[in-house]
Amino acid sequence: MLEKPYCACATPPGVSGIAVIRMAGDGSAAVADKVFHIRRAAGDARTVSEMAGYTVAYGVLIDPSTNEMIDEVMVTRFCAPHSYTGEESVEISCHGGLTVRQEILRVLMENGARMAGPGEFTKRAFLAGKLDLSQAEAVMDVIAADSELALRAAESQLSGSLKQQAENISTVLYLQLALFEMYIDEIEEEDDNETKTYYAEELEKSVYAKLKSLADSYRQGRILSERMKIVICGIPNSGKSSLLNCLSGYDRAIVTDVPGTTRDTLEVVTSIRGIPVKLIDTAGIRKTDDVVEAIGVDRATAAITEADIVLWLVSTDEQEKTITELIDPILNLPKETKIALLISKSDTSDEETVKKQEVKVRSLIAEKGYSRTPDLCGSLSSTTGEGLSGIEEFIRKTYDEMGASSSAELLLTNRRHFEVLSSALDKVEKGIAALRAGEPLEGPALLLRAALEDVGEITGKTVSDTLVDTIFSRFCVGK
Amino acid sequence: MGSWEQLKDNAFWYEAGTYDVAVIGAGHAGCEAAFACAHLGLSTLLLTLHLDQLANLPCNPSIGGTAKGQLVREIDALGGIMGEMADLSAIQTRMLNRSKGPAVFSPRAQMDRASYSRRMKERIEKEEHISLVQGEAVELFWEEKDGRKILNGIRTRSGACYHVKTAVVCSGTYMESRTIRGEVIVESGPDGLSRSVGLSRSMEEAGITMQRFKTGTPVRVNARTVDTSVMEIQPGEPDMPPFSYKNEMNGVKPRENQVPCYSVWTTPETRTVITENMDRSPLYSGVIEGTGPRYCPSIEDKFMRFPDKSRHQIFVEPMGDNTEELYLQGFSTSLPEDVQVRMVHSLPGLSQAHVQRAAYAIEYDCIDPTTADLSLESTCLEGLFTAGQVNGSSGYEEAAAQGLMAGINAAMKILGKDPVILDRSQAYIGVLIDDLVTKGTHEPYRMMTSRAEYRIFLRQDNADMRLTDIGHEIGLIDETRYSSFVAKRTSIETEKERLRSTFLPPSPMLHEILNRCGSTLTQSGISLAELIKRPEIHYRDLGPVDTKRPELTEDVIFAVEVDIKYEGYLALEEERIRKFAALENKKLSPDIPYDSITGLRLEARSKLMQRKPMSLGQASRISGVSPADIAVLLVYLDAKKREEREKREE
Repeated sequence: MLEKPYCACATPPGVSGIAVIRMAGDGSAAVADKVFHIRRAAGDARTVSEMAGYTVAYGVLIDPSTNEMIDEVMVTRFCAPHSYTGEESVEISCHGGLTVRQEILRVLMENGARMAGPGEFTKRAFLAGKLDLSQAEAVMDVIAADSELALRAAESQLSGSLKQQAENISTVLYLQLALFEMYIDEIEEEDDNETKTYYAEELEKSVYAKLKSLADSYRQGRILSERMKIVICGIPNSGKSSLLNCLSGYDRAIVTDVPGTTRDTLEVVTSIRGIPVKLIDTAGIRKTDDVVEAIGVDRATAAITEADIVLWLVSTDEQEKTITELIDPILNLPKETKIALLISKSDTSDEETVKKQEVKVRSLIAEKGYSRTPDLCGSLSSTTGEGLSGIEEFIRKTYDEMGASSSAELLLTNRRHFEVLSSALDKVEKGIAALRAGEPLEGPALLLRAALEDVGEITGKTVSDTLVDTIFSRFCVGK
Repeated sequence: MGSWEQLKDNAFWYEAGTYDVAVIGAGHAGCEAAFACAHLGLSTLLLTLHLDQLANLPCNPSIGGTAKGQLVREIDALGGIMGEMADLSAIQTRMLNRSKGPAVFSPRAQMDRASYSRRMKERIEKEEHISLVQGEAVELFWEEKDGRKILNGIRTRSGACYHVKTAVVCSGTYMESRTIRGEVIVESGPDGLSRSVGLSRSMEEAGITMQRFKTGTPVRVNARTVDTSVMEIQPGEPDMPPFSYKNEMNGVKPRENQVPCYSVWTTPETRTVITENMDRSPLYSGVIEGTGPRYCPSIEDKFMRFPDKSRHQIFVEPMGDNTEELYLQGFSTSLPEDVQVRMVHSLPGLSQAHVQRAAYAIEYDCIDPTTADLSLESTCLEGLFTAGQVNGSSGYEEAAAQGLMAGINAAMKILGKDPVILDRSQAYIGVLIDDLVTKGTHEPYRMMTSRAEYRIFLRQDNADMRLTDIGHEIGLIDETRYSSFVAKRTSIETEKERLRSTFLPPSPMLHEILNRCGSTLTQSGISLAELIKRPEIHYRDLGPVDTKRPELTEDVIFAVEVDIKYEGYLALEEERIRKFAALENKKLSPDIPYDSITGLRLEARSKLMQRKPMSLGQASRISGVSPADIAVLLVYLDAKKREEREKREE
């Protein structure tokens, strides 16, 4: 089987000090020999093929067709099977410019390599048994991570800490199940209710608490993979688009004075104080006969219900009637959705007017019988930037609070992991209830077995075809 | 060796006839195998070493028990005969595990040992197409075709040579066996019966890997010399349903005067006698080479392995109606005879007991079951099937279950049909056979409910619902029985539906019932099914408020009640079975080049090449094949599928 070695840039796109180009597969060293002239290497190696594994050589990378130098580089040699993919491979550390990288890749391909498919290194590493499924999945998460926090979470999973925790949970579940099985098969009489209550307490303390804490961490972890949804709403012309532009830092939305300019929801992804967010600017919510605008209004209402934070803009001159119309859709949101009431365009009025408007909104809310009040009240001027830092702080605080309910040492960021653990949690909970109710042990035993199978989807003990499909749909699987 | 040609040099031999199937051994496996083949119309030779010992119960005089009762019910649902015969010879019947949940309720019956054997012999003799012959099979014949060995005959010790298309070896514990009591070793089968010599070697020559296992049986004493008044009594249950659905249909009930069993605990003296004589135990002196069953240890084993436990329970079971012999369950040993007598005398009520038969350990040859496939046919010698203890299992019920399946599949092969393979979600039988041939065993394998992943679904009460259709399709369930089964199935479904759709308004009578059951009262209407779902309420309790209740039999009521009470668990079980089936349905062709699939660990490659599993599910259960290997295979299969699709499109 004559397969070409494959190569790709292993460092992210964009300008950087140095970049790493990775080439793997049989023949990698031979390709490197054609384009790399060693100037200095350990053990006096003259070619890459002569280099020992895990050694580095300094030299120049040339285009053999013209003999022109492209860059001064360092080459690291890996011998099979001691490499990321288990195959022979070579890593070229070059200067970080875009042209340099492209040139090197071109030269490699002209000399016998081919471009790697998406995720190919990881897939090969998996196929070579270097990574298990959960690690492969975490690699994909690392690649997809686009904020500092998300990357850190994905990396901690790559290092196996989630797997370790899942394995600890599995061990406790196994021991408990073994005990049940022994009673079911070996002992003439079943346990009494007192012992079952004891089992229930043990399960609650050990397995249930751990699973719950992990599953709860997804409240915060989810933000890292799916971003925090921040919905900006208010009646037309309350300054929503201006705020969006301020928070995202560039003119994404068209800002005009005509009410109803933003007819659809507008989404911008950015990161605020390190937290990945999705800012959603809604069409002003108001009763309208304009068909296009009406669709926008529906979307806006839908967006509110999925929000993590609602930034509710009320301008200093907004009338009671329209303010009242928005109270129900916003104040009825679950308490997990944080509400910020922002008196906008503060630069156009004096401080007293702003304060008065805020008091008016608060009293209107109270009049409607809501005991809940907005989680943040403040004033805002998108022109002067007043109030912006308060909003950013509020976003960060909301994120931190999401993590408060969990004592887990790591953050669950992957929806699949969350779903699997929630499902296990549900079964353990039912098992505890069944034990408390004095049900025969075979029921709780089934629930523990099923919970173990769920957790096994993280530890890799349970292989389901859907799991493999899910993970590898992100790879280029094929020839 | 192993061919008809070599017979020319043999002094004495004769052509004894031609059969579709030769069943070698007429124990629990052999009788089921022969019966199934004959019932499916095949000419069947049944060879036995001892014509008076058909379906012998050389160890405990009982059939059924935890997980084993489930097996007997399954055998019956498929059309086997163990349950039917056991019902007729039962002297005591009980449902074990009543204090546990319905999934592990297990019927067990004490047998009149002589009667069971006699009835089975009569049943077999009356069966058309079976030739029952006393004879010792000593050699298999085969021909080689395209590198495969194909079975075509067998020879007995007396020179009778039979042409056969298939054979089912059910040699039990007889092959090259020897019994051991302390220093005394005798080349013998169980119960002092003669053993089988030569067949094991012939199988080995065919390429089958052999193993050596050990099991044992306890002391029998004379009841006249035993004081049962100091023992705890275990009476039978009067209302037990029979094992057999056919007997149930015909109204067979347990007999009136059931015989009790008894139980006692070992004393400190028992322990002393054993400890002082351990140096004479062949197990510990190294005389015994075979591997014994962990789940059915000898009494000295129990004391040595669990030093914390000061005493062990011993059950005293009658061996039949017309005998005074008592069996001491849990007291199996291979210590010398003189020590055995002292051990027995240390037990309460047995201080004067007269030992009629001493306990012994027995070593025998069996095969490595991983050389068989899921239909129980050998992968080394085509046409050769194996069932029972020769496959490394222990227990009468485990043997009968395999015998039935091996018989069915030998017949299917001759009839040119697909083999019948039950999977782990269908039956204990499926779990048993899959465990043996996929995982293999290094000790006598005993069925346990914890081996069944889908235990809540695999119950003794619904064995007929799970398997009668299959038995009918095979041809072992006749039309009368099938139509009565269909009627039962319909009445269960109808009744469940009625209970779900009948709502009761709150009423004084209902409240009285709820009060009596210790259940919470209802404020609004509630369906009968919702009420039955409550653990404290039973179908029977609701009679007074359920006025339109149809007349139903006990078994239907039981099935309805379990289905409703366990609705949630059964739904979860179904979901798990769906996931299981996804891997089971991914078939692996025998010519997959495992050794060239990168990513498979070395051990997995060689195991897969050697065993050629039928499905990805089966592959995942082979020891040495890890979940990561399975993921690799999934990716491989997926890539292969794409490749084929692309090829088709071109």
